[in-house]
Amino acid sequence: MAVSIEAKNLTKDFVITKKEPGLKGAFKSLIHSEKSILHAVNNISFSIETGQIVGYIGPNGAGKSTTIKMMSGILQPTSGEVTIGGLSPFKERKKVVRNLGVVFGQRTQLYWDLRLGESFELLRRIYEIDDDTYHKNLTVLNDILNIQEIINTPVRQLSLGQRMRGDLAAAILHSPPVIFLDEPTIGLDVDVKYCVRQFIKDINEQYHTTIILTTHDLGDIEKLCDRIIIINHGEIIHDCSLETLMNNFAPDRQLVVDLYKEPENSVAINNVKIIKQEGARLWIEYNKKETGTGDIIESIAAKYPIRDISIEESKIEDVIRKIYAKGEIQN
Amino acid sequence: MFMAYRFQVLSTVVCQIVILSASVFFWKAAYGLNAVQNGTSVEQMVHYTILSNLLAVFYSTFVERNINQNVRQGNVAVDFIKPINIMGFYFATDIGIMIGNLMFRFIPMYIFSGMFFGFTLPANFFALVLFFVSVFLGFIILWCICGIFGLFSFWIIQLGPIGGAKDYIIRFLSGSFVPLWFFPEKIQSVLNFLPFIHIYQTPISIYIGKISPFQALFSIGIQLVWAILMLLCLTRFQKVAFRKVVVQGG
Repeated sequence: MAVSIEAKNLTKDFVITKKEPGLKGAFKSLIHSEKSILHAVNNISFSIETGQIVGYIGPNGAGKSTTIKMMSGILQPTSGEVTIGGLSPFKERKKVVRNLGVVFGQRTQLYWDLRLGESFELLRRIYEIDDDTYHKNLTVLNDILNIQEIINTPVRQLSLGQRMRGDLAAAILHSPPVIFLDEPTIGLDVDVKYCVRQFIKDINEQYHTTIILTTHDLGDIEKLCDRIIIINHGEIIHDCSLETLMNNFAPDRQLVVDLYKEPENSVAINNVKIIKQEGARLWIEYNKKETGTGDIIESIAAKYPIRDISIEESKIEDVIRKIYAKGEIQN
Repeated sequence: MFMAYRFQVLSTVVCQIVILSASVFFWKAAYGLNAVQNGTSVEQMVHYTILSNLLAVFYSTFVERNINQNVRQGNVAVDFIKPINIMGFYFATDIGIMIGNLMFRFIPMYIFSGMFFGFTLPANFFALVLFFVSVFLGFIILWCICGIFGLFSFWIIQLGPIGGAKDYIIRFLSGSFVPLWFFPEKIQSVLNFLPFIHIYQTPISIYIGKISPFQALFSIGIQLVWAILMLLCLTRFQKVAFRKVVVQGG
């Protein structure tokens, strides 16, 4: 697999000026202000192969957007480097962004006063897209995002969901091999969210597009990403597949067993860890790698007749929260 | 919605016509019974002030406001992700606005001036051609100054009232309100060495025949030098500024 994006010891520092509170502080900061350095992104390295969908996640202020902005040539790295298709986005911005589609969930690249279609026409000229490709792409986009129904509406009259559909379409009109999506599902209802996810999946399958996705919606990650990179305080703390992450951080699984009859005293079975017992219901926790679910059921069934069972996997939210919290303690 | 824009167009034209008329009456009153002042006839002066008003509505320097707004709201990010020359993009925006200005402001005001103040084309066709060249160069100088101003946003984020003050200072120093030849001599000699007079006074003087076509060629030469110099400054400054990019608001 060809490497599409590579970051080596990428670092971005920001100088933060401190302002003391109140009127006194305001006057003071006019003359002299204390400065401190924030390592927004601190010495991170990764490489992403062509056609991968990578979830880039972390708590607010972890440095996700800063990384995306360095990768799209907006911010100059303080040190280290990042390359896309072998080129530096800051030094050769125009060449790099020609093959790049970027969506900022909180901003729009559409023109406020123009109709959506006119924004597309302008982009077609900016990216010098030839007629055939343009119309072909527009047809494909229409199938997934239903663009036709909003193409004649001025952008300022679009709802957030419609605008996001427009923005996604605008970002891939020039069929870029690499797409950065910075919180593309922020503020969207379930329906549009589903549509956006479907879109990302389709684009990746059809065009083998490399996609980097930052999001706070773990549903996006679950549905889309082959790989996740977790960043906190500007440093990468995990870089693996979702499955590996879940296995490492939540190897335990819960089994809920309903018995036919309420046992007279508390249930104790060899090799089975019962964490809670309430009436005829038992909660059992076990490591899914070490113990087979069938074995547990068998050993319970040997003593008590079972009416019903259900298995509860650990939630991805809980795992991620655990990981973020760990980062807080370390710092 | 369209009504809103139409109202804006109409009200701007009306306001500009009032200002234009006032400045014409001012100069007629100032001249009084004298037909000639400092080698300029009252007709020339009326043409001067009309042209100055016409150019002021024609020139568009939204570049400064656009950069400032985009920096403040963090929308520079959107400019950077397009494979375009960013300053070129702002320039094209201003050219577009100027085409609009030409149709909706310049032409109505031109017709009004012709009907009520006897505003005419220069007698010499060659002077008219030179005037166009001079206006173009004057605009480049003005645009670069505003562009450099706008780029300061990358450091100070909020330009505040400096922008508006700058516009009036430029118009004053460029002889747009009062031609330089009415200034004290010492100030004149200083201003002659600054780029501002080439924004308004040089093209207008060519139009009204204050300077001969031969002298005009020389002035245009100086304008050209200034324009190139300002463009160089702008490109150098832009490189420094773009390294300072901070995207506001996530």
